[in-house]
Amino acid sequence: MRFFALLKKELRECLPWMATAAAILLLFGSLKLIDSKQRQIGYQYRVFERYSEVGGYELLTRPISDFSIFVFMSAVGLGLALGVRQFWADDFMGTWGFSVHRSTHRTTILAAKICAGLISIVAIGLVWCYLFWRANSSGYFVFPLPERCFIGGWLICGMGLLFYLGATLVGLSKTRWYTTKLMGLGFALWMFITLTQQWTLWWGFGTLVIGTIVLLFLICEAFLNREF
Amino acid sequence: MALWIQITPGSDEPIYLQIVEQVGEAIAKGQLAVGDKLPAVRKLASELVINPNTVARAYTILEQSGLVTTKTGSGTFVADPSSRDKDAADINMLTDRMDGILSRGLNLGLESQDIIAMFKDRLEKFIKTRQGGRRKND
Amino acid sequence: MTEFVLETQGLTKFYGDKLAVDHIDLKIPRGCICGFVGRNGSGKTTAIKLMLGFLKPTAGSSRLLGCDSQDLTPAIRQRIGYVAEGHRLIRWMTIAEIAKFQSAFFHEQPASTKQGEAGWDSNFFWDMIDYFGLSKKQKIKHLSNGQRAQVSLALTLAPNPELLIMDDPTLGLDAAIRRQFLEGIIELIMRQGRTILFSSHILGDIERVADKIVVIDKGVIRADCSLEQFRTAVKKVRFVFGQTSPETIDIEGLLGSRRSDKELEMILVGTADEKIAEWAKSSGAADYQTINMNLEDQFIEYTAPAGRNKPFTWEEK
Repeated sequence: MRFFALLKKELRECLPWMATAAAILLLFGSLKLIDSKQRQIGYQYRVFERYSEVGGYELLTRPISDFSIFVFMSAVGLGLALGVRQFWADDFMGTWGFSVHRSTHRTTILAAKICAGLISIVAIGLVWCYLFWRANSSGYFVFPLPERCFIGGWLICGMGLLFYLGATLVGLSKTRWYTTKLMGLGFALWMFITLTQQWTLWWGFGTLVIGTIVLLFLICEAFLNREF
Repeated sequence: MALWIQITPGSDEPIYLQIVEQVGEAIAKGQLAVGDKLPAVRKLASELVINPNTVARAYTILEQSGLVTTKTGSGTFVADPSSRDKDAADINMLTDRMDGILSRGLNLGLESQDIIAMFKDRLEKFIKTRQGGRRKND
Repeated sequence: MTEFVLETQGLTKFYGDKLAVDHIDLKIPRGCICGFVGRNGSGKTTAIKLMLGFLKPTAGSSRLLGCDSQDLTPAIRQRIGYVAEGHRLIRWMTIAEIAKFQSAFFHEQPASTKQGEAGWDSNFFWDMIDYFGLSKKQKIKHLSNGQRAQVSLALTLAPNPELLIMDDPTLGLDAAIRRQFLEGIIELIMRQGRTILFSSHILGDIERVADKIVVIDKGVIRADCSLEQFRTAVKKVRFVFGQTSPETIDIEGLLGSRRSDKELEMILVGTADEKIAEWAKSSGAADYQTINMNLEDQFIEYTAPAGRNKPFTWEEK
């Protein structure tokens, strides 16, 4: 089937980046786990948990802050790298002719690329799952990390998705003016800032979903109308 | 059958004319006898790496000048010389060519009798080769 | 009525202010081998990209196999082979992997000479690869330009395309590989009903392979006729005068001229022999001679600046 042939090709192209980002997250995450094991700093979180019942604000930031920066770097780094690899590289290498003259609809070609990107970001999410599970196994933190923190990690992966779609849109844009060309990333950045304004789950996922839908719509339009 | 055709693209002469000439020369020299089969259009096109239509065109011209005949389904064969008629245009082409050779010869400083002697010599050699070729094919 | 495999009507493309392609009208019938020649920057690649739906025209339209270029269906694209300039392929794949990728877009089918049947002929592909001396484990990025062109040719011919469009396929290739490329094209020509459009700078290749020649210059079609017509129409005639050669020349089909004291050399397009003789007589020329030109010279003279305003189009009957 044509979609799967395309998907296989796209995944193979994402693989090195996916593997690198996952390895970096795993490495730094593991170092953090080892570090916390040695310091047994879990008791701090209990204090914050009680304090934060009222505000709801601190609850997500504190527990995952140790990992959040690594998840953020991996997810966003991967997102940007994939956006470039899938949509900018063909321009430099002159291979759009080979890629787009295929007996499928353009939407299928785009769908294969986006699916591959999504799968890669999910891979980072799976590494986060592993780190979370590990953090909650005995011996690492005195008190376990709450579920909301687990979801928070996925939210950060979502930011990676936003930046991936933003970079994609920039890659597809054919305008000459740099300000308009970078609008995709600009939008992703705006969504990211909005997301962090109120660090609650509904706000977070709401922004993510809206941002993704808008970006996907713009990407579809850009790709289907693009000139090669 | 000893027919070896070589074409040069980028020459002043169109490719189909080059083929016509070489086949014509082969027939004149006796390398091709009456009834010999010319290579199939596709085969020749494949060997020379040219469009089959070009070969077909050459064969058509040869047929029009009476040098070959085509039998549908079998191929193209060298025709009986008695069936050829000398066209005025062909004779003109011949005299044009002769003019070219004569001007070169005179420019080289050759005398008229030298040029005539050269023509006689070449003609004799040609006929000898043709007769030799005919004997081989008998 | 002839079926036109490729048709354009008033195809025009502006890049901002720059006019790349100017009202191109082309009709290519089935079975035609069309050589598309033009100087660098003449608009060949833009025209081809417009025909394949990679660019949107500013005006006009084009149709391939009866389907509008901007809406080519997957079924139609399957019947069209395309070789892009530079033969760019997916670098990280091996020959085996890229063959597998390409074949996924076609039904597996042995070579068929019937029209409208695109199918991946695996045997033919690997026969070509063997013939080129390549192996299936070689990575595309490790191949030379010539070898990549060979793989590109095999990938494009194996699906048995009905219409083959090639953009400068032999550019930068050495003589041996160029010859192999032409052999591949000739092999395709032998199959019934195949149509080829290829653009090239190398007139020797055009002369070998093309039935029809289309000359494009600054985005405009300057000639559209059979190769033979072009070859016979563009003539160089040298006139010798007893006195000084005339300064003003008035003859139909004049493309350009060169004067020396007693000689005048003219490039004429489509001028009948009788008209030449008439002019020679009326201008008092002592003698004149038609000089054969090779295709490259004809092309150069035809697209030289002086000849810009002389359109030359022959309707195919």
